[in-house]
Amino acid sequence: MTEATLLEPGTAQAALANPGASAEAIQSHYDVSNDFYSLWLDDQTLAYSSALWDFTKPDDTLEAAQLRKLDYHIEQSQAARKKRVLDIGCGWGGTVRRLRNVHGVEHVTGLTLSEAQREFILEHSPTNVDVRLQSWSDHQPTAPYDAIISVGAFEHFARPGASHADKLAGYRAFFEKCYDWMQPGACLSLQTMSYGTTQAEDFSKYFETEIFPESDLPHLYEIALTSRPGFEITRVRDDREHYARTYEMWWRRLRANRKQAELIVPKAVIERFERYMQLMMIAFHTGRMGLLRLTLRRLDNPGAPLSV
Amino acid sequence: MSKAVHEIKAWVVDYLARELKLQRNQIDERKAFDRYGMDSVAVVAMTGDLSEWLGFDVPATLAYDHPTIESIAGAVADLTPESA
Repeated sequence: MTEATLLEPGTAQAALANPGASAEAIQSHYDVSNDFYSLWLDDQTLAYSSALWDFTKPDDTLEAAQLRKLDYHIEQSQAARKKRVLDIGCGWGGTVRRLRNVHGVEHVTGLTLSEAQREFILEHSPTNVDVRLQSWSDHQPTAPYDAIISVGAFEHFARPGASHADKLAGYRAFFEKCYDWMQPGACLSLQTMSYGTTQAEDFSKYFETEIFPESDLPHLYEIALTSRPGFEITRVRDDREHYARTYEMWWRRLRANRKQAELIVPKAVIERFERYMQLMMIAFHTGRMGLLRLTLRRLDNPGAPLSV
Repeated sequence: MSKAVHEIKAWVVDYLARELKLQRNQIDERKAFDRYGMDSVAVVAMTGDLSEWLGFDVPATLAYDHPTIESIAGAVADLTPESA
């Protein structure tokens, strides 16, 4: 896996310039092969993030649960039938397509750091979709957005080893950018893995070397702290059991497609993914990690004096 | 093919004895896996080998819902290749 680092972590300047994982680090994880991911992600959305299961339905499918997740974020961000919506960390474009094809959004902008993902979306998307190979920190919209959705990207916004102050500064910079890009009162629907009962030290070495180089996870309180004063958090869910089940489904699908996978990537890569999926199943099932879904509404005049 | 509870217990006892370099009679079937110093990576390795022996996949989380030899053996015996 590439360990390329564009900026050394640990200084405030580095954190503000680009606090998260570099493009090289993101590509090392996501550019394994689109064909490999398509063996175990669902066909409909290709979403590589936790689904939203209906645990009352024993026959709920990965496809249905992923579509339910997309619709949840579209509902929470109030994106349906709006003019301009931004998807930060758009993956293989499931949300982008859903917004355009089903929810009547006029124009969707998607940001990704993965060239393989960008190419895939351009091949499979309707018109009025703008996919940029760009970090949120470099994004400069031409007009305000009516809603923002970010699923499975916040995990990459901080680097392990950075000081806590730098980590918070990076998160704060992200929320300030979102605030500036949004219409007054607009909503941001955010989904991210988080530390649960564990601390960064327990995970960072494994994460950094094996799976997500240069990425660190948030705690819920860090999001609550850094989204102020621009946003009010109107909804919080920890859906960790949803992610445990999602990882289990991916693991079973990869196991079932093992022979095909071996034609696409080396055996060692498959074994690394299988081990990673099982460890994540354990982490979410036991509460060591959380899966946060937050709705944040832009607050206007947050500093206005109280009239008493 | 499904295995009987006593066969699964014997397999796990053998596995732990081999991995932890202990005598079989030093393994307590009612002691939790984490008390043997097993972390999640060790659990994933164990359920992986167990799956290979059984011929169907056992998710690693089963060892957290059933954290002793005695309880996991019962849970695994209840699994069929279809439900696993």
